[in-house]
Amino acid sequence: MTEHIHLHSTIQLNSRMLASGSKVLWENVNDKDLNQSLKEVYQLLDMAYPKFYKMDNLSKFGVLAVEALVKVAPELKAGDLEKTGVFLMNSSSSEETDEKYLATVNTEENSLPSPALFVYTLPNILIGEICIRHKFTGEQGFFVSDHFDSGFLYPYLEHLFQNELLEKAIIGWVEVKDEEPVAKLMYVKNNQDGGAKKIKEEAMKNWFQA
Amino acid sequence: MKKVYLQADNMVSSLGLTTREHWVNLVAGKSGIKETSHKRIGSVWVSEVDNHNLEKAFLKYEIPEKATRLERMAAYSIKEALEGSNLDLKDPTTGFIFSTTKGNVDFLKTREALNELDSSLALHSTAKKIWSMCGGGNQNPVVVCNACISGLMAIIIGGRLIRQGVYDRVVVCGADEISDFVLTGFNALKALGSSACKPFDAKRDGISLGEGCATVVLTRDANFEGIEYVDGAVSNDANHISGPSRTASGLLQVVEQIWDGTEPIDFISAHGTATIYNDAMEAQGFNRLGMEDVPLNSFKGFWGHTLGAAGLLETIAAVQSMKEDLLIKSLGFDELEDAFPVSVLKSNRMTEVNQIFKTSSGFGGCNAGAIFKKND
Repeated sequence: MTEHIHLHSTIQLNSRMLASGSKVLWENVNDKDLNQSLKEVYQLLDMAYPKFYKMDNLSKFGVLAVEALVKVAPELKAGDLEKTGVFLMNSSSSEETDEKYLATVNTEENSLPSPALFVYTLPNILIGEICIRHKFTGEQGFFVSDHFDSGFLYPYLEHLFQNELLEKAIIGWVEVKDEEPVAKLMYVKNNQDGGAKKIKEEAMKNWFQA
Repeated sequence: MKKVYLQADNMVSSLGLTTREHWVNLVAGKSGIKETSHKRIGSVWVSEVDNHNLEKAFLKYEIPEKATRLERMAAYSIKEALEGSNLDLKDPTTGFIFSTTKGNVDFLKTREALNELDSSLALHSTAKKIWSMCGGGNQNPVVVCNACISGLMAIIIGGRLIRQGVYDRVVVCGADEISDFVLTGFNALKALGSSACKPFDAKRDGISLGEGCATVVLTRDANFEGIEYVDGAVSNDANHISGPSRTASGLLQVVEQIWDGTEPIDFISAHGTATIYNDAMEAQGFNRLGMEDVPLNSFKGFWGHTLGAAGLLETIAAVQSMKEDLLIKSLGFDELEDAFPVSVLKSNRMTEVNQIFKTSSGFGGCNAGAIFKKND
């Protein structure tokens, strides 16, 4: 069977750097802390999107990485946004924010737990934030796995591309619970326009595990 | 395209521990939602699974004790669904999909107790444990954590993986419990109703939180061609993280993708949470789709909003309505809102039901819909 999945571009964001392929776009000089780093990347990407500051860390990380991906691949903003999908995974779901929310529940008697934090105790809120920012309305899914599960996602994407349910997709791993928070994204599409190249499952798996 | 059939199912909620028990209670119009008192919130209406009956069921199915209630409930549900089927869950052509929003979150403040049960907060560990408790093999479970569409989305993913040739059959299970975590959260959002929920009613004022678990086994084996999963789709309305689109765009996109209007839809099992915004969005959507005369209900008046299990529980109940040619009234509904008329069922109705439509929507702007039909 012919594969339909073509890799267009990638983004990696962690506390040390932002990179697309081998091209470094930002480096953390002087060991800035996470908040300062995120702010610096936000400014670098020229976002002017005040909603960003209300997000939890998972959403901030993912939204910044997608912003960079859209800068690297502006064609993501064009075409049929109903046929643009977003599929993300991580291992801890929204556990970091779950703990922050629980801390607001366990405070003194009459204080109300934070509704704003509670909303972010669903990891797919990150997908919602990405879709709101870029108006993607296609297929989506947030999955929890201890590794980037290409064994599932690759044939699943293949199905969506083959049946013309999607033309483009952002797939990725966004994890903030670990000591080293990370967002790794791939922009994949169903054709080779714009220099996209066919990618096999093995190569996808290797890139996410590297 | 490969055909996908529904081989077996199980339902667990306040209304019982089998699909049969649920059906009897649905026909009788019995609700499992009750008023209770919560130490922080005060009076609250919830639908809880009876622990005494659960323990008896665990004994009967030899569900291991060293696991959380959620894990045991899910393992029971899968075993009950597969009772008498001789299906080997170690067979690599059988897949496992688990849907949940919060899994074992009630242990977030008591992690030690969780360690003692050899369980984990990590949802993929929870899924692996459930699968192994049922005799499952090394298949890596797909864990869907996509707010309130998780259960229906899990069925859609199962159907797609079978059509893509990844599996010959897929066990789809969803579970969520009532926890302080979720109850205080919905209370903080002011989303809880002041009485048992009233989906689509003009006087509705919020959800009743429920807990439950449900299992559907999907197969491409034509020996089970009674009910077919026809198609499904997922979308995002890209509007707001905790409110649905004002134009129902996400729902419209899903329906336009899976239904061309040629074969009539005889019944809609809506998401119908009984919040002002969700039900108004759905009514508008069905109205704009020209589906205002299609009989519609929400099953949430029976067992509340069961989050990650909701799409599964409601799909099974809707499919049962099709099997029995008996539509179930939308419990809690009395009077329609004027803005966008839809045909909410005020009483049970005997009628031929050949094709049904199930919808779900959730936080993060997500929408899902699927069509099931009868093969006579």
